[in-house]
Amino acid sequence: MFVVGPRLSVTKEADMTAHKDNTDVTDKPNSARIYDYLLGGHHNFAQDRAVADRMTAIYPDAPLAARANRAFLRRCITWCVEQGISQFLDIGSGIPTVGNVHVVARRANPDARVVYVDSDPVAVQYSQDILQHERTTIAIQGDARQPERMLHHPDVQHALDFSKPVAVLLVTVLHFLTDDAQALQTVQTLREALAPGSYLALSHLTLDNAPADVVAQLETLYAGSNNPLKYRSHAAVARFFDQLELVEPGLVSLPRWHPDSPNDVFYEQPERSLLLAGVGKKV
Amino acid sequence: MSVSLASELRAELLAALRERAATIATRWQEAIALTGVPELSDVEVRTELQKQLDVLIPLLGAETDTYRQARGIGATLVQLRYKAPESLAATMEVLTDELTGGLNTTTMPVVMSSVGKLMGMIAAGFSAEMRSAILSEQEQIRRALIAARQQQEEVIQAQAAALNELSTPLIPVSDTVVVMPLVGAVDSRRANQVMENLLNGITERNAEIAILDITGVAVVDTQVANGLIRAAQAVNLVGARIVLTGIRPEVAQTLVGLGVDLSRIVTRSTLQDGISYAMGQ
Repeated sequence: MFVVGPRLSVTKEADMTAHKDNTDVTDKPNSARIYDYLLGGHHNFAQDRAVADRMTAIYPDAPLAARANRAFLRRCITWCVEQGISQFLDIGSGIPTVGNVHVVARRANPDARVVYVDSDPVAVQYSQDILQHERTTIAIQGDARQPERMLHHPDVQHALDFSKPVAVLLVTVLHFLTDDAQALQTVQTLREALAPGSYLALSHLTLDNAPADVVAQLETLYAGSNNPLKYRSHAAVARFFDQLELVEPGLVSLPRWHPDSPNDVFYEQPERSLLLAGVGKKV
Repeated sequence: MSVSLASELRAELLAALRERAATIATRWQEAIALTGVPELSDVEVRTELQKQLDVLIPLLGAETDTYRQARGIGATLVQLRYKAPESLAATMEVLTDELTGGLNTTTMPVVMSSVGKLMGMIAAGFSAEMRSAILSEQEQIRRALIAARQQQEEVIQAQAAALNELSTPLIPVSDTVVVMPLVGAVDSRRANQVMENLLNGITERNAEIAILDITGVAVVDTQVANGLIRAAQAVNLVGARIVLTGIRPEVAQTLVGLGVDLSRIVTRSTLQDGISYAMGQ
């Protein structure tokens, strides 16, 4: 049957579904902008700052933990480039002023290609704005809950060669996937799409070593939030590395993953970061 | 104190500071380390800070009107992403301490006021750079917000357009005949769409007859009937004719009851009748 009038392109249709969950782009605090604020950036709005301030009141180490996480990302990219990786898929990239994977990767390898993926349309628009003159770095909107859609996105397919090793970064992302089965499914789908020699890097919130009162208060804060969050134990996070080969030093407290120096944030008290980090290799 | 003594003392002091520059850079970097989120490694940051010391130290021996150059040091701190008030406080503390550390009671008064002025310039540079950073970052995020909203609106519009097309599909049955089956409720907005799509489709395809099938239209009232009559008139104006089909008995009764005059429109009871009529023309 022929329908008169312009048909919507396939891409447009895909975008339409991707946007369904993000009908409200401004009024809710957003984790990317909260993270930016914790890192001292100004790419945020009042409601983001309010949540970050409440979080910091309960967990005063929050800004330092954000810094430690960002430092891990930097170390991790540099390490991946040293292993010969030149393609990066950064899922949950947020606002790249605070991540800047492409800057770090490019410094180590000028030919590095980076794809940023975030579910927040504002973060994506921002990224696209600052990347408009970039040829080997792109930003797309996507959801970690729908990894196939992300992997098959025409721009991603164009930017990355999945027949060659890729480093997939899930840095402080999986704890937003509160359903264990779904989080594992996401990791599995990504892992299956990767060529041997690829890496999967992640950092994840854990309260294994957190003081009991902090645990209780954080739970209360997040229970009433639009972005529920699930902390996982070391054993639960380790499951994300099923069928991958964990590289040295394994799944560890984040500040202890290939630290630069004893001057690093939380080097002496790594558990204060409340984050676990690890990198797995597909063999 | 004579000018020559002052300059002699300064020269000595500058030489000593130059020798210490690497140590000062390390101490400075360690002092600000936890106050910022640099993109560079610790070692690279030290190299950058040492470059700043290469600017700062000679200024101590230079004319006051060149002190403005020290503003660049404050700006560099911000560019290296040491943007917290603590970054500036730690910087001023370390630098004041280092620049005045080797002084005695004779040399102190000579150098102290210079150090104070230089610190003021560093603070001014930091503040100016912070202000422009905040302004541009806020502007960037707001621009992204507006773009995101626009994109959402475009998506909503595209969805609405897709729905419109679905609600008034135009199906060609031959080179000269098109059919538009209407299903569901017809209000004035949809009646306008019917007219628009009908006219566009007829013009695009050079159709001679357009069959409007209302079998699926639940309620036909005066408004719907008038819309159909107007559509028929408009179709006549573009050189084609309309055939109205699918008038169910109760709809026919309603139309008569409403006093709607459909006498100038060809009508057939079923779509099939309408098509065979149109093909016979």
